[in-house]
Amino acid sequence: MTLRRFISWAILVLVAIVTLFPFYWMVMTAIMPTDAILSRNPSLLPDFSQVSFAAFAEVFRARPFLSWTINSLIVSIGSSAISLVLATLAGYSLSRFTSRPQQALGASLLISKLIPATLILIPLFIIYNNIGLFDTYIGLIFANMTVGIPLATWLMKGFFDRIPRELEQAAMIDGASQLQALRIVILPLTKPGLAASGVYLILTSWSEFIFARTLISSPEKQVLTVGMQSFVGEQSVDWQLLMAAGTLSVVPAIILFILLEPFLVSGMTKGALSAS
Amino acid sequence: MASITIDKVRKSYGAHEVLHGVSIDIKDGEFVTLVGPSGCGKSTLLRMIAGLESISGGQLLSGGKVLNDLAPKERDIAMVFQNYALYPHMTVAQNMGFSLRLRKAGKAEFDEKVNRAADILGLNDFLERYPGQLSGGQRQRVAMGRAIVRDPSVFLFDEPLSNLDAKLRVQMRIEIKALHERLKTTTIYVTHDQVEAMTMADKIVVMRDGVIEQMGSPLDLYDDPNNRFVAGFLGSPSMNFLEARSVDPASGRVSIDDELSFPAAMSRTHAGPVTVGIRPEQVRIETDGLPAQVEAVEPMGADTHLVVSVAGQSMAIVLHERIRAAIGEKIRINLPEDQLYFFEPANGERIRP
Repeated sequence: MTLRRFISWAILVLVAIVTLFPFYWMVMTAIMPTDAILSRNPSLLPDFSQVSFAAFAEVFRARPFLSWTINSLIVSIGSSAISLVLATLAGYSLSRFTSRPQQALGASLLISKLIPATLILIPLFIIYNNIGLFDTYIGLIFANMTVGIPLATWLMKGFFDRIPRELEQAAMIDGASQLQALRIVILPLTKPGLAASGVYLILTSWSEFIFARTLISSPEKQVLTVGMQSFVGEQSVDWQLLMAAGTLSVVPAIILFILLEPFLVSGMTKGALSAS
Repeated sequence: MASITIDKVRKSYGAHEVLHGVSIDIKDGEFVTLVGPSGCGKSTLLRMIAGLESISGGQLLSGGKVLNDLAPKERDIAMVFQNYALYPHMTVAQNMGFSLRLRKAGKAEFDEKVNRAADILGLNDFLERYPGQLSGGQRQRVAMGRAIVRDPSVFLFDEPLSNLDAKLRVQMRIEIKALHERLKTTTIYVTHDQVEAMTMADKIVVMRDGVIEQMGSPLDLYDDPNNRFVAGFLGSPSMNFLEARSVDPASGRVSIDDELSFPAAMSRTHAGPVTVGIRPEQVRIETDGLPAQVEAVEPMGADTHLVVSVAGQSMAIVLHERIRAAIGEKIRINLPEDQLYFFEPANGERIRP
């Protein structure tokens, strides 16, 4: 092994440890007795005689964890599905129509990304109260869309930019409408882009907290991130249950990654052009 | 099948006009090449015929029907793109039959038409392959197959051979020509290659800077160019141009400078300087004539190409016999009077004697 390879491996291992350690510690906290974790000299490795998975079952008994998960799924899937459709159409039009007003509109999307979510929270709250979207899934879905769409649009634009225009022109000469050309010829080639944007959109709204905390008030409509906060009491924190719930909440995201991984692999446009 | 009429068609992007009123009549079944240097507007014109670019002014008609505002799919055309634009996620058969799929043709019709096109182009063994698994020449054929299956009234080709190597280019040139002979479909073919234009076309349209310089049959343009640009564009090596100081109709001689002059069949008085053109294959090497110095010798096998210098101006000569000439050797050349062309030095317009 050369020195270069050794250094790059060392950096990779270091980054992996830094990234994965909090996750590891979350699982440890969930399966070890809390006093062992909070002791002055906590052991980095699990003491197998003390390991217990009871906290995971307890999460479902003590709280409506299943209902939170379902609510989170409704909001995440709802907002990312609508966002993905809009971002795809917007990204396509930004990529193909380059008039100045259109490009300005595209840039304004990115600028909106600079506004922190907390800043639009209060106006959203007031508007929602007036038009009856407060404490509704659809209201929360719309709020999440404001976060995800700008970046997803630009992600999609980037993927469309790499697909030669001649492809949809050929399709249009072959008898397709512009929308048909997009659907039958272009979209199948942007599967990696759709997968990447989809993952980004779902994860953004899956982990969103502030909108969900403010725009939903009924306990039965609460999503995971807000529900889990109830493990943090006024006097004490139930670390074991909180971390067990945290660990469980990651499972859908991991499943999503496993499902979409094949699409994230690029290279579909190979052979479209003479030069490629 | 259709005739195409292009009537004073203009194209501008904002205030910038790139096509300045172009008119061409294309007869049913005719093979027309649009040729010119890059940026002359030939591809833009083709894309306007296809409906991929809007028409800023003038009219485009097909069989008497105005096409100006019709969508590409309503124009009954097929186009072969320079980069082929094959759908990478579809097999060769799916690529060729895409237009049939869009109009929901049955499986029997799909198979029949795709197989027929594959027969014509020799693609039968590749129908289930993807474009990424094909060579450049095969991709080119698939693009043509897609156009054939579409069975349009007009074929449009946008520099279809420019991505192929020289040998394949010659072969495909012959195949496209043969295809046209067989299908007799009106064809408009854009190229910057004058050899393609000369060999394939019934009619050549030479364009420059958004205007038509001249159009006509290949040999008409070759033998009777209207200006220096057309004369120089068609033919390889291109026509030689000698800048001469004056013409004297009384003595019937053209003077290059104080010492050198040669006879020219130009009866009209022409004041001032003139550009004299002559095709490389018309220049003769003789014992008497203009003194010239050999600058380069290129034996091509069948022909021998010489580059010589005459009064400081470079000239190409194509000889069908083999000669031995050394660089620097002094020779004498003769410019046959009836093979000379005269042009205005200022604007390149032809001066007809």
